[in-house]
Amino acid sequence: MSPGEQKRKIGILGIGNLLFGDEGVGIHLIRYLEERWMLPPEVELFDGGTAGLFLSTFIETCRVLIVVDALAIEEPPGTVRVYHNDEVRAGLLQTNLSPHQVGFLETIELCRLQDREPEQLVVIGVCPEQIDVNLELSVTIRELLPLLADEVGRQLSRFGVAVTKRDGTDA
Amino acid sequence: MAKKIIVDPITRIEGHLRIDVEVDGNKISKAWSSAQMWRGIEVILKGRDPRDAWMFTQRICGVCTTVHAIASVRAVENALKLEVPLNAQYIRNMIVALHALHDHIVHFYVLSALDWVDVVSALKADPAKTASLAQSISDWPGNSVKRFKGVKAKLQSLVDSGQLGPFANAYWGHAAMILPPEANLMAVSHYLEALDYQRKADQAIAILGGKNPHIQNLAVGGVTTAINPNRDVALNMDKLYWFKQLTEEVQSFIKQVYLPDVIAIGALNKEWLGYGAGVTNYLAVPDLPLDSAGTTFDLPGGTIINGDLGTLKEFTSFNDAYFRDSIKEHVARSWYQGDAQLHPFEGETVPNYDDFNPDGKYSWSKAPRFKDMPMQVGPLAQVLVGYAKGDKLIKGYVDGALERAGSLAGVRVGPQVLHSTLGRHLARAIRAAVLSDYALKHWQLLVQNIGRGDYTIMYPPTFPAGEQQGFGFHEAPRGALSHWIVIKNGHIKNYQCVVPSTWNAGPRDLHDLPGPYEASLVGNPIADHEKPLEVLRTVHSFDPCIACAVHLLHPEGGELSTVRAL
Repeated sequence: MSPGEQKRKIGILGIGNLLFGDEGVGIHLIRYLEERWMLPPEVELFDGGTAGLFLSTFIETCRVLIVVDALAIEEPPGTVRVYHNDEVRAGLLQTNLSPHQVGFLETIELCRLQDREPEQLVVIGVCPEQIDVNLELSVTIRELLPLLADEVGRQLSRFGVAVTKRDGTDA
Repeated sequence: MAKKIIVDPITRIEGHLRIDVEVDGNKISKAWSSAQMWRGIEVILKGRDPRDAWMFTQRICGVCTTVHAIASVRAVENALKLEVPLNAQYIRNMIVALHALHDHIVHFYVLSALDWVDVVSALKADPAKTASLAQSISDWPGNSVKRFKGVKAKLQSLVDSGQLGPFANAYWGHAAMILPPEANLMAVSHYLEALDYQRKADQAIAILGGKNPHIQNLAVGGVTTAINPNRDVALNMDKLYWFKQLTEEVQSFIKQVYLPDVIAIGALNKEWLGYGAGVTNYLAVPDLPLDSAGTTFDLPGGTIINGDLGTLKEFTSFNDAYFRDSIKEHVARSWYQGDAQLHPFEGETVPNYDDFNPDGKYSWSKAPRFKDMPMQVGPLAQVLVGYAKGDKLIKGYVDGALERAGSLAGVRVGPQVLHSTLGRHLARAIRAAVLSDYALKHWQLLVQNIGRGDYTIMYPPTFPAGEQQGFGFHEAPRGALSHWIVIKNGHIKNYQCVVPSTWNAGPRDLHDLPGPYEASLVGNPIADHEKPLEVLRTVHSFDPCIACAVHLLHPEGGELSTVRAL
């Protein structure tokens, strides 16, 4: 994107490691939404995996960024926390569950240092139940996916986006 | 009495590495390098189709994503005695070069510069003085007062927020951080610019490779990058010029920023040109093949023993017997069964984990040896092989860089200073400059070949009955990588990856000989036992990347590096 160009995109970014059970909840949610939702062209679902610094290319093009990730906080599995803007940087989150050392938070800070961070940042965090080598989500977290999708939908509506479900119902 | 310091894990690397050092007074007397993860990809590959192996192997790592793909297709081609079309060689070479440029830039700025650059000190810098310092080193357009003022203000707001973000958890204010504030501000500014240039290198790879990380355009026998100058969906001149432009931009950054920065940091920390030599047996493999069979190369490879450039013995083809027959992997001190030393064709991967035992087994990494010798691999090995050979391009860059470093440091320095912690950084920057030249050369070769009407991209493989063995090597950003395959009736019977970081980060062997990391730490000063910055400096100078060095993941999430001084 050229510097003068206006940022319009709303990005929904799932991050995590699919190999570590519930650590991959962000990616599982992206897949869930891809199957069920129809979104207007300015909204992009993005599987960020454990890409770390590689994500800056995507993050910088977003006016609004909604992130879904596992949280490393001491709360019961399935607890969902939503953080906005400066709350995200206030050290509430430690998303360094991935072995990659330049993580999401550092990438956001690097975007900020270059004046390219999104205007609005929302992080939807989920407390995992199991983080072992496993391609599946735990039952607790798998059953949470519809609720997480509703939360993403609520956040999107704050930014004026209406979601249509592929089965024809409103989200 | 010797005191023990454990750094676990070493941060700002890919993967999980533990380093233990024994400190006598203020010097390291003994060191252990322990890879804390198990890889397992070889086990997954058994019984599969050899044409698919590269897709699996490149998933060993999310950093050196292309390298295991390249080495894998070369190994299968070697087993089948299959040549690849010139276009495929050139396209692979352009990817190889751009991947290395990306990797070297990220390694220096994002992963290791903070061992030398004190970000907090940069706040004391005068932007005008910073600009005159930077302009005395290079005429890069980013070296302006305005730019440095802006970066300083940004940095101030970051520090004021109380969140250092990417700059948290470093040893700010450490006694060994001796760069003046202006040099620190310059480096921070270049750090931010580096983020844009590493991305350009990524984009260039994606033009050819389809995506990045993890390219999709390889095939045993060539590439799947269809060439057709008249089609939008194929590789055409538009896309090739896009690649060229991105490469030229990256090249400017390397020559005007990266290389001069490393020279300046080297000159201002000249003491560190005397620490960290370690194992001075070097191993590099030739790369950037110029013919279909892989018998002539732009990048030289070979061995150097005991730091003596006169001992150079070259590897001359993809079928080199001196390379093939000299490698064995030791497991005497690694968490695998037994204490056998096996050639990779016979290699086994049978885990046998017990605890960290400094006198016994203590790492998931095997210990590869070349004719029973530990070898250092990486850009330094390749640059020294090129220098010993008299390679014009490499020698020119080395002599130029040493002369600049010497005049900035006010001392005469010769190539012997390359055997050091900072020598490894300098060699990496030099290799980046060399590769940027070759990336454009191979672009030219590709365009000329397409201009002759040759659009061939692949010679399809056929798999005979019976058993075939093959090996493929690639000079990856971290050094000599080789894949070894045994094929039986068209399926993989055995597969072993001998990777750069096992050469460097591997543990002791059957004869108690330490690996390069371990040897290079001995003699390093330790100013503060609670903040072993010096350990990070030397280990990071190898560009550690442990995901492939070990044979799955051992998740130890959520924790930052702990330093234990015992």
